[in-house]
Amino acid sequence: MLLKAQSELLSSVILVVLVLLIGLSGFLLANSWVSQRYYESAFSSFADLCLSEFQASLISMENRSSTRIVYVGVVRAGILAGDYNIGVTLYNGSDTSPMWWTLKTIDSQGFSYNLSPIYASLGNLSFMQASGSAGFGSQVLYTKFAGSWVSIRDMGYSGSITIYSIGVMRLNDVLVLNISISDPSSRYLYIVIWTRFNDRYIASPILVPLI
Amino acid sequence: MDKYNNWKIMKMKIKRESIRKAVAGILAFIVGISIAIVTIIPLLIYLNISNRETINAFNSFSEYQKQRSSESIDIALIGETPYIRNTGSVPLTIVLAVIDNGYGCGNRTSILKTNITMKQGDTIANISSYGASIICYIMTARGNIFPIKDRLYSLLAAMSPSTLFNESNARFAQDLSLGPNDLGNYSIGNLNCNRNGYLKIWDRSNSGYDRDLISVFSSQGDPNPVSIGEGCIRVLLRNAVNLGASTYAIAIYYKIVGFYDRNKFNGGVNISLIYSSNNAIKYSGYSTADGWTPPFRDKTVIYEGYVLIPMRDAPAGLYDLEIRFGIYDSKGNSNIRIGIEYIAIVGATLVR
Repeated sequence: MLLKAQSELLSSVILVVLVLLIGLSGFLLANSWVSQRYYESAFSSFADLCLSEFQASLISMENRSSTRIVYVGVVRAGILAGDYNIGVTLYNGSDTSPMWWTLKTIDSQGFSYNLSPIYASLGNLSFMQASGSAGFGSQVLYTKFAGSWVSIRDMGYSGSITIYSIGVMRLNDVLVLNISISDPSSRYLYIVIWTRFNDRYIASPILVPLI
Repeated sequence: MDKYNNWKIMKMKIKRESIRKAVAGILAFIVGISIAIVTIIPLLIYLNISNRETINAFNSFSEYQKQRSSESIDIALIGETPYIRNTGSVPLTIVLAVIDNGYGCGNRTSILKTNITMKQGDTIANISSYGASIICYIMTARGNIFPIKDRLYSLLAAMSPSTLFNESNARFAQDLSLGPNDLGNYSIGNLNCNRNGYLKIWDRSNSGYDRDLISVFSSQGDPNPVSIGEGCIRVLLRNAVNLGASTYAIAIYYKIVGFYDRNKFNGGVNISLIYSSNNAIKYSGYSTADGWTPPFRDKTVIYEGYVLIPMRDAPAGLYDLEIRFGIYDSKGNSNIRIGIEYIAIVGATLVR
């Protein structure tokens, strides 16, 4: 009788432990799934907002012998409240391409910049050469393609991209880029503003026609 | 008895078994619910919140876009001075201006960082001492780029002679209303213009000339204006010109017609603006009519021209318009009768 009761107790305990184990693993599984969802959702929301946050406009374009000088102004729309450390890459080509990273790159010798607050009256603008730069693997560089955020590696690019660091762009800052384009066949310029989200970098490409 | 006990024990076993099953089921249910509560519900809450935040962010973006598209800049000419005017429905801040350094807007420009806030309807003539005529573009804090110089040139081009003159700044004699304080003076034999005459419209419609003229008559009932050899006529129109602020210069166009019995006169036109408030400040321009010979018709000469009068620092307000025409070198003894066919002003308004 006692043996039977013990065996019943044991089977009950095993049952409870099993239920708990299954529950715990289910919890961990769900938690990991939820965390992933949290992360992906937070990332794509932030990245979508970044696309709208940085607004670039072509200020003017000059012809100096065989080189075109393009002045572009970038302001923030104000939908993201924080200060963001931004980087820039520039591409130009004779045609537009959703895969802008495959176009010809303009290196740090080809552009300079001025980042200053809107409410500072500085007189004549002076430009700085971009110095700080770093190469980033394509697996951490994300761009929006066909409505989804995908890494550039997923788009078939396996190399790395050099992003030129500009600095912290605050809500009331204006970024002016002074870009030299020597290729006479270039008709389009892509200005890509990079912002960071944890270990990922979000591309906000802005197309500027040079026609 | 044994049978009864066995039945009782079996009943207890069945009861215990069902309790155990029920407990296990409840436990599994509680664990399942707990998992749902600690995972799915926070996720749903998070998604709901983040979705709301995203909606708010996009609402603020659409508000930004709306404000950005509400920005508008235009160029207005006040007098001769071009002004940048905020014609949009929102205040704007000019943060950058591209300056033409004398090589055009496509070559060697400089970019000026500035901070000028303009409310709706505000106008500015300069950005850091650079006038609108050398500002190529401006950029606002919302990222809009507006061309300035191009718009100014378009505006000036649109002001072709056909639209340059209108009722606010040009009058032919037949449309000019003379006021009781307007004066007509003349002199004969000298250029003093010191004799009082009467200012009237000279109807020339039946006398071989198509248009009426403003002229000076020696008496009220005289059908013809004074006839002079060497001498002067003076027309003074009181409070006839309204000058805006910051006017650099004005141009006055005129047409003077003379009817003579010889073919050459030397003379000159002096046009002045006299500040009506104190009659003390005078701004003048002079042009000579030497060799006034081109015959229009038999015994008729026409002298058309303009004078550019510098008005820098002139106070805004009403001015008297004085036109003096002097003939100082006539040949022979014959005389001429003179009248003014029209007056037109660029840079101010004719109040008549």
